[in-house]
Amino acid sequence: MKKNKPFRLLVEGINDLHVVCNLANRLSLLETFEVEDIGSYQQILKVLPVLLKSTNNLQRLGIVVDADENLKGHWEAIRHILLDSQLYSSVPEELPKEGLVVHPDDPAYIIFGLWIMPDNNLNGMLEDFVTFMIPEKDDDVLLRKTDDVNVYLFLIRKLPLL
Amino acid sequence: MDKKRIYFPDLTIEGFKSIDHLYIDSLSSINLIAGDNNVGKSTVLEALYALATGGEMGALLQMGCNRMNIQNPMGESFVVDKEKLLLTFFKDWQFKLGKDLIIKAGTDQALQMKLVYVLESKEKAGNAVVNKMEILDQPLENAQGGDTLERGILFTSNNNTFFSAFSTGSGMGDEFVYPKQVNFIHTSLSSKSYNLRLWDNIALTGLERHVIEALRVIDPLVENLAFLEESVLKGGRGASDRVPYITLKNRPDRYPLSIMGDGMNRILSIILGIVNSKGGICLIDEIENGIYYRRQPELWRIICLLVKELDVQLFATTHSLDCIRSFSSVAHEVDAQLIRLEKRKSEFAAVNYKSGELQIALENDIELR
Repeated sequence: MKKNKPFRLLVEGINDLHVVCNLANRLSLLETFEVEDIGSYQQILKVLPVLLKSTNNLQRLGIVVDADENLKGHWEAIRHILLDSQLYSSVPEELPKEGLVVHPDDPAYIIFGLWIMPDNNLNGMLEDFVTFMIPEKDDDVLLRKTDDVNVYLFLIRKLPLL
Repeated sequence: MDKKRIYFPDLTIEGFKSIDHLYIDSLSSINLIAGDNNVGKSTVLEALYALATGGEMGALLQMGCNRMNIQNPMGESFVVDKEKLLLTFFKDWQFKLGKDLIIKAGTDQALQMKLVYVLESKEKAGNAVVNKMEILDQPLENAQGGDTLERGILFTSNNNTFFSAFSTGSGMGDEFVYPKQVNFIHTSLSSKSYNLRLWDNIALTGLERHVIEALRVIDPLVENLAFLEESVLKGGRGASDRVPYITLKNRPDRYPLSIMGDGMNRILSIILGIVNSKGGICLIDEIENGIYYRRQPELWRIICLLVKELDVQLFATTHSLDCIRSFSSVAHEVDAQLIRLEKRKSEFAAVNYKSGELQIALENDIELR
């Protein structure tokens, strides 16, 4: 996949990738950002510190990871990477419910976003999230479910999509 | 005299050629500089060279010549060339008072170049007439009779100050011994004469064994090296250039260096450049130039070996991803980093990648230039 768009969203696996792409399609979001399947949560942790330095071709970088059984642990690990980089001194202590968007101290660097599935708050797997999202017969309730709205708001407002 | 070791822990460049301001907060023993075309990689090397040589006039002129393809800086048009050459180091290439050119590293190494006017007058001191030079920050409207108004550069290197006028070549200032253990290997270097000169510099000093050791990284059978006149070898009487020959263990003859493969003259230039920079700085522009990509890992192993043994700080530039890859394969063995140079809106910036990060970037297709 060519990586030449300045806005990129990393996901940790093929399931997340499908969710994001389907959501983006359903919401008719323009293709202004790239979605990249990194393969695993561990791999995301590995590339993130280096990607945060890519001021040559990235303006905004978001990641979507699963909480699995360890939301706090995953949040701490990512927060640690952000602080270690010495580029984001304004990272909050707690992960905001509406998703994390943090601006770099130096505006030349990359705006970073984080969404921990399913909704930054509950422990759970992607499957839970998907079941929330499946519309009832003849009735697309996608936009009415609280969790989905949060993801929708996150994608549509925090990443520049239009 | 013991040469003091030269090492730059960091670098600040201000007002040097196209670089208004650049700060690199941390430097390693081996620094590979990558970045877009025309971002200023070679300019950074030139700034390092100016700083390391303490602003020595000969070094600056030679560097200017290399860029301008001027063949003979000491020839008849010396006067005109000197001013033109020196002005190329300043923004806009014009004589303008005001912004100084400053290059510094660490807490104690700095070079400042300031464009100034100087009033030369003659004064009577007893029975003698003494030349007096006064440095002005602005041009005088009219020089008094007998006085001349000169333009030139005021150099301040560490704590030494020296003024050099463009026209007369006269100078005034502190005695300063310029460091010699600094070498700049340009892209389009004529390897043959350069190699000869640098070999002669170290022959019989004991340092030549490092050159042999380096060649043995490529071929462990290399025994010795010398520069020989080919005409002599062929039994002739005419003069010819001296070129490198080697001997191999367990073999009787002398062989031209080229039997070790293509690009050996360029590799030898790099080896000689580093060996001649013991305790100092070696700068290599477009390091991959003229070297087959499969040879590059060997070249980097040679560089690591020599840098460690001789306490040299090395700066190289590259365009090539292959070169960055082969650099990465040795970067963990020594204090090394990739520096990605970038032009952002109105300023330049450097982003560092140490060995681990470099590897991750290469494995994940993260653009390093």
